[in-house]
Amino acid sequence: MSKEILEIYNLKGKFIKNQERKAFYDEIKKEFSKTGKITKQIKRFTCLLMNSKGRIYLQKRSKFKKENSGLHDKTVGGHVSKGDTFDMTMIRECAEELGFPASILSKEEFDKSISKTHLNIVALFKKIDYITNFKSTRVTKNNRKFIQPYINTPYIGYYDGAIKFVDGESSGIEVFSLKELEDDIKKYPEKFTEDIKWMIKKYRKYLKPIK
Amino acid sequence: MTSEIEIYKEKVQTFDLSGKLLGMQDRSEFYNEIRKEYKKTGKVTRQVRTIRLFLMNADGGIYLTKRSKLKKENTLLYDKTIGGHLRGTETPEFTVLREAAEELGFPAAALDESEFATSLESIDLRIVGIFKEIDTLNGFIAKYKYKDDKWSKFPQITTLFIGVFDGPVKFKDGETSGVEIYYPDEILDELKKNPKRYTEDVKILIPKYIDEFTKIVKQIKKYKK
Repeated sequence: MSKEILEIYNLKGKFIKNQERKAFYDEIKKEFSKTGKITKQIKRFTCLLMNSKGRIYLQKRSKFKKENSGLHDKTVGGHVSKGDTFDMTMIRECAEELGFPASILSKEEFDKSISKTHLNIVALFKKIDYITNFKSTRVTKNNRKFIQPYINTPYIGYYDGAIKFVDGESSGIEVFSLKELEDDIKKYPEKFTEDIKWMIKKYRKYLKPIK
Repeated sequence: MTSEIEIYKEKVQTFDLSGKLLGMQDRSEFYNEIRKEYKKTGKVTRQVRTIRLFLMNADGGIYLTKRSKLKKENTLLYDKTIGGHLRGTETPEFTVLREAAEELGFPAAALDESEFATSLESIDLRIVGIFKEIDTLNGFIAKYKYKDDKWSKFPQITTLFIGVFDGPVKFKDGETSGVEIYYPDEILDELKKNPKRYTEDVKILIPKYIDEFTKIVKQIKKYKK
């Protein structure tokens, strides 16, 4: 695998430098253990996928993952590499990690197309926010918490077709209605990542069936 | 409106416990009769034919599906990938291929031992799945747990398949509320650690045939190199 180069930004969103992914993570982990905070961030996308009935697909993170292992998480998320866009990264990760084709539409186009599209064949997404300083709380295997800031673009989307699983990334998918998910988060908060808990709270108005 | 095909769909062949064919019957009528028989006599003397499939991906992970909460039996438990009844005079090979197409959304071929092994190498498993018959059990006791913690136990003639497919898999909303992947080298420990998460089928059949799963993982690895 080729080395993944990321664009590093400060907390105000100013570009600092390009850096290889592992070197970046080593650096911020050192910073965190020294000062208790992280002052550099990278770009990433997060996405919540539903079927047309509004049932939400959550990914169960593989237990081989270093952080948040075994927890239920957003459907897909990932880093935006140097020179890449949020949209293209999101489309690529859906294809690579879950094996389905996705298209991202503007709000107007999305609203027009969503009831007319064969969601068995293609997933439709829209951007719902842009956060310049998203604080993602992550738990390592030895149960240490650290807070990683991101420049984050979240998407929501709908899809009714087939999904595949890639080894090492996820160990499964579970489907929840919004109510089931909110009940479960209340009952078993330790089973969910902080990201997903926050997203469900913040974006619940988007998590509904297609009319 | 009920079509001819749908009426035919519901017919199943019934057998006595020795495996002798008795006749063809409406499926729900058959289940009503054996439930009555069980209530009256505490046992069931007739059975139908079924298939069970454990599907693996090309990394050797076994797909277990979580039964939705809308299901009356084995609610929210992790189960084999799919199971189903032989309709009419179907063969088990045909049933498993039909169920894979209907329930999981991909085409597959049922192959014998040697063809299965060579096809792991020659077939693009992202496009077509391959299945192998592992065993046929006469009088296999299918155990179902109900919400009130009651159980029902029915004998079946069941044919077990293991399959390999590496493309996208669809699971039916309403039937399945999740999918998890387990590797043969970790699953026995997991079944011991969290027995309440799994159906009896999983707890009986995976340990019984664990060598078959392990063998397929070895075959896949050999051809991947």
